[in-house]
Amino acid sequence: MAERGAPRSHARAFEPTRALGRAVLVAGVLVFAAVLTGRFDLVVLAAPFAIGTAVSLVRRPQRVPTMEVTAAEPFLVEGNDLGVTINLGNPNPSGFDLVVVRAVVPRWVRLVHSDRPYAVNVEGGTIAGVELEGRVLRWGRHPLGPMTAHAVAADGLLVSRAVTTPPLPLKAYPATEHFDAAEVMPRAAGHVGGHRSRRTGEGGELAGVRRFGPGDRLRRIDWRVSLRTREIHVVSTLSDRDAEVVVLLDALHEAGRSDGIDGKASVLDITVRAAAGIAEHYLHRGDRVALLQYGGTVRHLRAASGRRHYMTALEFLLDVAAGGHDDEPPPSSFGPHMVQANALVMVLTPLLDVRSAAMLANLARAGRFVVAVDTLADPVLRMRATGKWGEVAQRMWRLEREAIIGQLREHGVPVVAWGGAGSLDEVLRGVARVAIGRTVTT
Amino acid sequence: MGELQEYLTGRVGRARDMAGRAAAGPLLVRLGVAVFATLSMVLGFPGAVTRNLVSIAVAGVVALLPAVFPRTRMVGLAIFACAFGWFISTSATSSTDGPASLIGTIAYGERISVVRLVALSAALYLMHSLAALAAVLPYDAVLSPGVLAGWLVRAGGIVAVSAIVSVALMVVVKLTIGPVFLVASLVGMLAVAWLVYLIARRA
Repeated sequence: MAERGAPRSHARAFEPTRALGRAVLVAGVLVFAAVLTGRFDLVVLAAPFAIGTAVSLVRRPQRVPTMEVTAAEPFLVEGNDLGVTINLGNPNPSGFDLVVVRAVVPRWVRLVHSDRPYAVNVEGGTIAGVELEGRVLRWGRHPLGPMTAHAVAADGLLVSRAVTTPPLPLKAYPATEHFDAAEVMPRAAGHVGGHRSRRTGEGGELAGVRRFGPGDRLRRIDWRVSLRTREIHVVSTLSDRDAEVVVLLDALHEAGRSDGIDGKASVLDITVRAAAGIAEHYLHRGDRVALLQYGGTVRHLRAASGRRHYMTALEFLLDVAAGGHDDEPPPSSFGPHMVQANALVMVLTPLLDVRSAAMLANLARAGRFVVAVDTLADPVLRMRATGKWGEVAQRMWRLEREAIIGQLREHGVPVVAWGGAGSLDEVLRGVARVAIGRTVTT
Repeated sequence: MGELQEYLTGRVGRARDMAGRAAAGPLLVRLGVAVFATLSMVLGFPGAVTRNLVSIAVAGVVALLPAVFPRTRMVGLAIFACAFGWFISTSATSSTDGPASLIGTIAYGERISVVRLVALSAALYLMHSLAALAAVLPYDAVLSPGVLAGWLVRAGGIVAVSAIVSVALMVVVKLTIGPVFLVASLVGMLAVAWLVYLIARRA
């Protein structure tokens, strides 16, 4: 009795199409006319419609198709080939005449057949696969879908309700721009690592020879020097330390037009690819790398080392997005307190906003070792002057920006254009010298 | 006036986009609809009409409509137009007064040929079937080869079975001494009853 009160679902698996109504109408009208006029030839005209409709409806399916979407590669790098398979299942004993599948294709995914729908036939009790092939053109998260499918059965007389699957989350990691820096870190902080520190200790780098003192190990005695001087001397070495690198991404603004991996790069493209390259380089050397995003939402990835942390850093970079115009993080949520005192801070910034310059100056004033990496590349700078005053305005803007860079240099913040491998060596050398100077002073 | 111009510009732009995106498979299906519609016109209407230039132009337009608008009532209209053409071409001319005289004035009195009749019924059904496919197939769809082949095989099978049944029925009607009117009535009523039963059962 309780079932009688339950709401009855009217959603049927299959609905009749206009073709079914047409077939019935044509057959009915022709037969009726045949009866009225006594013309048997009209029955012959109606025969295929009646027989076709009857035969088609006899093998009508009862259940809608199933759909499953899988990606061939779970991890992609921008520019890589993409392979996605849509598996369409038919749980009925009779086949579907065709199943039409549509997918919403994100902007940075190029498929061979673009966003066209696909039509395949699926036999009863089988699964048919639709292969989508293409490329991912830019880093980021690209949800492929949602995908909808509807089956057509009984020779186009019945169509199923749409089956929808949620979007397939595709992740394209940034293609790392090769980065290499031979210079030492300004201040190595940890106890173990790949950098020689400025303090003596157990390590491989020779610091000098000195007199034996209490606590020195016997195996460190330099016998040649000891015999010559008739006093015991030991070899002192510099301890190996690791360092912390903070890669700070200025995402206050996006500038330039991104054409993906094959075309021009926007500011955010350069920022993200450079950050990936820097993180890969220092993590490969055993350092600890932290990531920090300024602009939009303040995001922070704590410092860690290792291969796993590299993958985490790449995941972090996937969500980098430009903030709005008035999207300035409050001082309480962003400031020098987020950066360890000994860390080397590499700020990837296009220096398009005075707020970025102020943030850099704040960090420098707080005693952090800051390097500003200019990500506003030349192609981005190239603008089309509009009107009579366009060129003048562009020149003024350039001069203003150069003034900001000059002021930053006066504050002790080196500004260097991003150029990949070895481009930061000279600046890093300068920062290391500053760090040694500070150590001597203190 | 401005709104009308905007509307027309939009429609032209959309048509241009559709022409740019149209895929070969769905176009082939629509071409098939047009071909069978034309064939139905030629088979259905009397020779005197199809030799007239104006009639050819009208028939061409009517044949194109189901191919261009397969989701609309144009397909049904084309089928009924062809059936009407067949009806007037094979009706006997009459000079008597009364209701039959209306048909009699436009009738051509052509002899009913079995081959032509079966060919017309096959062409009409194939037009209907391909229009049903074109209606569910997006114009820009990437078509798997099995879809079209399977569809044509099934439609061809139904046409063949219908032709055999029709010829057999006509032979029976010829041989039967009883009135043709009664046989047609019975067959028609049985077919309609069967269809109604099938539709009612699935609903």
